[in-house]
Amino acid sequence: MAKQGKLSLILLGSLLWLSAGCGRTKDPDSLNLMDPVALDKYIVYIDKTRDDAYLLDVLSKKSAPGVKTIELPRAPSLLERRKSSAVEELLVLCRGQEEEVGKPSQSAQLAVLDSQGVNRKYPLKSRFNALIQSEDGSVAILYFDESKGDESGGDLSRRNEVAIVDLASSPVEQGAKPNPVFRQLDSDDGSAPRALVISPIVSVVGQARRLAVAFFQGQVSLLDLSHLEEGRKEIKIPFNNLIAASPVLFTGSEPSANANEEDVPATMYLRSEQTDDIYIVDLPPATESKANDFWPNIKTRKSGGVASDIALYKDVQTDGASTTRLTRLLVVSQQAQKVSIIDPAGNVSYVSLGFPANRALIYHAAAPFDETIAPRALLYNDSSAVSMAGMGVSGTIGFLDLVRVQERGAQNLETKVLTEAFSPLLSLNEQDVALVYKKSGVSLLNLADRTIDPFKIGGLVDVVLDPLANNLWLPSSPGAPERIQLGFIHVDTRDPGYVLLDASVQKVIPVTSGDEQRVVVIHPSKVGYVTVLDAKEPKRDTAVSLQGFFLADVLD
Amino acid sequence: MFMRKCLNILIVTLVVASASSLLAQGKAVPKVQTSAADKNEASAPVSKKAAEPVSAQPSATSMQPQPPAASVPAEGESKVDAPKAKASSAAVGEQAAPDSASTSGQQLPTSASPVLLLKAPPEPPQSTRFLERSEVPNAKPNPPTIAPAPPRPIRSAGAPLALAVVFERSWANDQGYDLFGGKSKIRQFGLWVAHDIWSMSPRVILAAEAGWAGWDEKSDYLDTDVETQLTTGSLHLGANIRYTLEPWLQPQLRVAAGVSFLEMKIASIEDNSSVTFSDRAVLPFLSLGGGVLLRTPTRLFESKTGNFASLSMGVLVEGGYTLAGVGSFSLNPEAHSDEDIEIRSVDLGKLDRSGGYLRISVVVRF
Repeated sequence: MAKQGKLSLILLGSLLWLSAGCGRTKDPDSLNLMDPVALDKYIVYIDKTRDDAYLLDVLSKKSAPGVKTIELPRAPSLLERRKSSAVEELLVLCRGQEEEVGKPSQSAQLAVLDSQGVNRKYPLKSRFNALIQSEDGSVAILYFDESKGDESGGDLSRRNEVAIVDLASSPVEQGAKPNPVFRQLDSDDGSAPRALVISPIVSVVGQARRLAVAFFQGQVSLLDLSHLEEGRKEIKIPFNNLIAASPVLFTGSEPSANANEEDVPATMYLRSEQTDDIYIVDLPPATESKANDFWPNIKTRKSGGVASDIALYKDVQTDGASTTRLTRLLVVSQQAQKVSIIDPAGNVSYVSLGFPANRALIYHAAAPFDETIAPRALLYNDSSAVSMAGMGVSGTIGFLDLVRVQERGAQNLETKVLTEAFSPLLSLNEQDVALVYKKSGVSLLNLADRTIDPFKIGGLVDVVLDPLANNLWLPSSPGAPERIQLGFIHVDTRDPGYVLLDASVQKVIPVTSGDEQRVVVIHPSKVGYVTVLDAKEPKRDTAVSLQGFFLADVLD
Repeated sequence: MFMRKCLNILIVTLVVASASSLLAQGKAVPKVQTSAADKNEASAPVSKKAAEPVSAQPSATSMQPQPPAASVPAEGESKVDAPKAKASSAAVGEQAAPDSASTSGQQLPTSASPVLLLKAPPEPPQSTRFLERSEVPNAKPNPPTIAPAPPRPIRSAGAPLALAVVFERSWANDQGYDLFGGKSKIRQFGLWVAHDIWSMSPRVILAAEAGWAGWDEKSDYLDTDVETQLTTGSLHLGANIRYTLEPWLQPQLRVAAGVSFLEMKIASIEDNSSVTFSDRAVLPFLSLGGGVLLRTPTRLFESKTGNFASLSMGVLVEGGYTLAGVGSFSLNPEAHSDEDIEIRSVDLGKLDRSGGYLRISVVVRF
């Protein structure tokens, strides 16, 4: 009986074990995707949790869409397209694995991803959380952005450390020219930089140099990126107020190989966020031994109001028989509702606007009354209509002719009152801009004719410019599922159209590879769902949907 | 029947005791020559008539040793040895009562003159017997006759047919089952039936088997609103050889071949809609395993009439390996109409069902 009892228990336990776990089981790892971006003929999704990049070939004509999975370094946190017209690459900032008991650690890296996979990885000493590139995509600087919170996980880190990466060169960990180069940017108040800007290549002391401008609470530092290996320290410029990190303007062309051409030294323009001060920073050679062979010379100008935006334009000044090309600074003050024009000599002219513009777009075009191509400025407000509620108008824009504006003042200003406020303003090309009205439509503004074509569309989700196809894509979800559509406007002909879609829209991404031009509509889906349309002739009949691609080859 | 026997024995014993006591009081007891006819009546009760001569004779022969009383043998018992009584009576020269046809050479007393006398033929001996119930006035009626119980049938305890409920757990080598939350484990529940087809030896039996099993596994993939479901069903034919080590312990080997039907569904639940993808595959498989059957002893459930002699129950624990085909799956959206935008499916990859298994069957044999 004892044996039979034991046998019964064994059998009962086996039956319970077999039937145990009935119902649902769960996998603890979830997809955590970043916003997709285009890379050549692919749409790239980065999975933060699994450290994978999914490359979806949207131009493939195969019955089963091809999806490539590329393993990335640990903890990708930031994704940017490299600003380069020569190559198609993505910059992925991977923060690595911090050291924990039982887990292998991995240092932070900047991975460069192309259509073939991870092309190169730049090792980083610290787990940076911000990245900035030069306009030509040749240099990137990684730093700690304190506004993003503490994502270091408690690691001991030097918050004023930066990494300067030469994206055009391969990574080099040691040697005479390491890549990346790590530097510490010291500040008098011990704070970390709150913003960084990389200048174009300008002429400094007769040499082509690229500068990094770091903004602190009461200081701006200049770092010579062209002489990092020589250990030249950064130049600290103290300010008694907060300097705006955007925009930072530079004048001064790259030194020309032609000796006959005049070398224009670099000048940097800064604005204060708290006062009406405008700072003009020249970079002449240093007169005595300093941290570098140049030393900034700062001139302060008053703009008559806290500057909201600054812009540079070149003007031709005729003095008798001679004509001089001058670079003038346009300063927009929303607070004072006026603009200031500052010439290189420091002379300031004011033009009252009568409306609170806070942005200026410099363009060169004709005017309805003037066929001359000349510099002009479009002045507008890129924020909500709060500041204009008291004026009783919903939106106003101004066209300011900049030729002889110092003399003519407000006579060069033409304003137009719009029916509602818009945000943002997209520059479509040299002649056209798009004014975006949230959820209701867009207006296309021709700068030369100063005419506005309004387009209405309900449930506007986004406005995406496709410069190659010269289209403006307007996805909308008006509420009824059967009316979900992708609207589009041919910028040149102003012809509108739309294509009905089968699912709501999350994002629209133009994709171009060679002669192939597509527009990819991203639908919200946990397994992946996109619709690919021809960018030149978008039609429902020729559209193709790709679904479930996150599960491609998941069984293998 | 047993009680009747005891009662008869008791009655006979009492009669014999009574007869013995009477004889012991010195009364003449006629020599009783048992013959073949008397043997049949020996079981009959002793009559009073027979007793009378016994009481009348003791005075004449009181000085003679009395021959031992002829005891009436009980039913089934052995008979009295008659020649002893005759020898003893011859030794004392008594004159035997001419009440039985004796063939044993009874002699006249030696004192008698050899005179030819005409005597009346001896009277036939009066046999002692029990009176019939009908001869006894106011006798109770005969008790009812009880028919004897029929003999108990002996039925065959052979159990060629087996019916079982089976729980099976498999460990596939393919990590693809993680999509369905399985972590490479597959469960199935089913039935199988087997019938013995050949007794290779008294202890080795070959049986043919057929069965079905299935399961439905649901999971939430990646802990999101993506629900996966894998429905499996399999049909198999096989054979097993079992060795009757003991009536209750039978190891066995089993081989089976069949097909598995797999249906995969993946449902993605979004804010305003849900999309379901599905695909199917049919995969052949071959399995080989060994196990042990523990069963109840033979005839444990047999009734008095011999029914259920072959019924037995047991548990079969078996482990083995399955070689299965590899199935390819792709995501085919359900509820797709021709008016929708053309959808291109994505290949999920291949799923391999090969791997080890463990089966526990609750078996009923009859």
